Amino acid sequence: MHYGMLLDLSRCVACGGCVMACKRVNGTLGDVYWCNVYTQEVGEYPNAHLKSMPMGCMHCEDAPCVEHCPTSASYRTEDGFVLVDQEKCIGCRACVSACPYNARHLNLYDPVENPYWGDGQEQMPFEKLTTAKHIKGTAEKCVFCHDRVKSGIEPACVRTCVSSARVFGDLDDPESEIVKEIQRRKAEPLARELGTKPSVYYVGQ
Amino acid sequence: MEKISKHSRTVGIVGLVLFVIGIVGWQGAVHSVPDVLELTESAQWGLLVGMFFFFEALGSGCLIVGALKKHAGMLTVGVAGIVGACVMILMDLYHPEAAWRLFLAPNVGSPMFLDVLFSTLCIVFGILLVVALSKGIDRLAKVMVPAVVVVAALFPLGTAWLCTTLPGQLGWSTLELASFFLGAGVCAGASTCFFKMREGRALLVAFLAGLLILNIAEVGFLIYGTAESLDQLTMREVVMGKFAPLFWTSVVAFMAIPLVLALLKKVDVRIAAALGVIGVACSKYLFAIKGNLFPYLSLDNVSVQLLDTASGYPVMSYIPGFNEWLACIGAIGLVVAMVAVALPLVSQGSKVALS
Repeated sequence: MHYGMLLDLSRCVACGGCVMACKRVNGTLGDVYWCNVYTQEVGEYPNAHLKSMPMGCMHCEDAPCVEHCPTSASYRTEDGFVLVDQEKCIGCRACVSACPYNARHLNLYDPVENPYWGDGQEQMPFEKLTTAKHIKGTAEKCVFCHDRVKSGIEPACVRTCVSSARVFGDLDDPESEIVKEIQRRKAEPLARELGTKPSVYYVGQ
Repeated sequence: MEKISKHSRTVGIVGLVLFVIGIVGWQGAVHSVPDVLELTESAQWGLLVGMFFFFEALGSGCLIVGALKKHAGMLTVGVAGIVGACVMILMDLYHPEAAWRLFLAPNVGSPMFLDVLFSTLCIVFGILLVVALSKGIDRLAKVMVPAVVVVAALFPLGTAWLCTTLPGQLGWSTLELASFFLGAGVCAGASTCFFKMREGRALLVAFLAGLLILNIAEVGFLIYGTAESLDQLTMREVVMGKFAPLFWTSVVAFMAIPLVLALLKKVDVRIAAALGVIGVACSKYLFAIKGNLFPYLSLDNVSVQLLDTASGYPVMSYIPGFNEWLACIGAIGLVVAMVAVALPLVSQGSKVALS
């Protein structure tokens, strides 16, 4: 089992739904966005248009963040999730510096003192549960919603994507939709030349 | 044992007071929200890491020169420098209370483990050699001299390995940086030597010229390198961008001018040496900045504007905060205090051993 994701840039409409779904499900704090959609204006009026690029952790097979973590707080599971054990993280930011995709963040906020929805608003039980997972001064990143995946539910960004720009599945299964789509559309990972073997593939313009 | 002189005691107390102020400043930085240590998504390693590089260079350089010259005083400065480097890194961690994991539960495959290993060995071997030289234990000194030279050379090389294997930091992508690390280390150590040993002016000239050439060579890479190359952007920002004033000030005032001063025999060589040490500190700080500038990101025609400076997006501008400066001053105070207290004791020990 090796989970991965395919992102179709030609389908992405940059609505930001995945960004908000991720934030809602994972309760990330402050300015931390595990899932992001970068946009760029291209061309000039009247032919200008917006290009979008969803970004997150690439869950690399040879993840430089895992290699550079001095305390083994960053690790890769057998089914392809690159995760962080926040209890072991010392906040050295070696992993943040090592990630060529800028996917890692250092959580600079306290989940109670600095909730992402602003001061003076009460947390709901679900929010309390999700925000409590974050520890100030530790590295964080997209976890491919591994708790949901273990329960048989797709990651939040995949489930919420209005234009079906995201496909999630087992890269080891030749019959899976993701593998078929990667082969059919000749999808490529971002910056393959770095040799990190990402589990996230991109296709389209 | 004779008492520590009044002068040394005063310097030591002042150093310790500065260290306490630094600790207070560091605590203030750690508890600030949201930008602890003024660092951002774009600038992960800042002044404290730059000062770690400097103390590492100073410490390893002093240990190498001190071991080769069998000079207990220089070795003491070297050990204090390495301790300063360790303090800087501990202050840079967001969870220093968990730093025990670096020793008891490390990821030995991590390049950072090399820093942990060699810094520890530098301190242990350095102290053993100081004791051996002070107490006149020849056998121990014979073993420790090569051991100190080796670990002191490996320490900056280990850091160079760490930096150059970070694929997320283009500014540190070239392996030539290993020579920069070692060169700067020896230069810092050698420059410090001239406060104690005034001989060998030519050696100082060579080291200062080496440091100057390494920095000018980077400008050469920029001029003759591929203009579109992403890794050129980092250097362009340092040489011609927001950090240009500091870069050119360090090259002219702390490398070229001390080189000229060192060549003039009428000028006290210690002035050139002091300026050279500041030059190493400046170049180390710029090195830390350079690595942070531009994460690698592009895919055919799609680029990420946030990270793409070619599109004219304003680049990261990292200015250390007040508390970061306090933390640095604190670490400098600790190193000065350690040297002030330990140096007279080592000198007394050496005299006893010689007699």
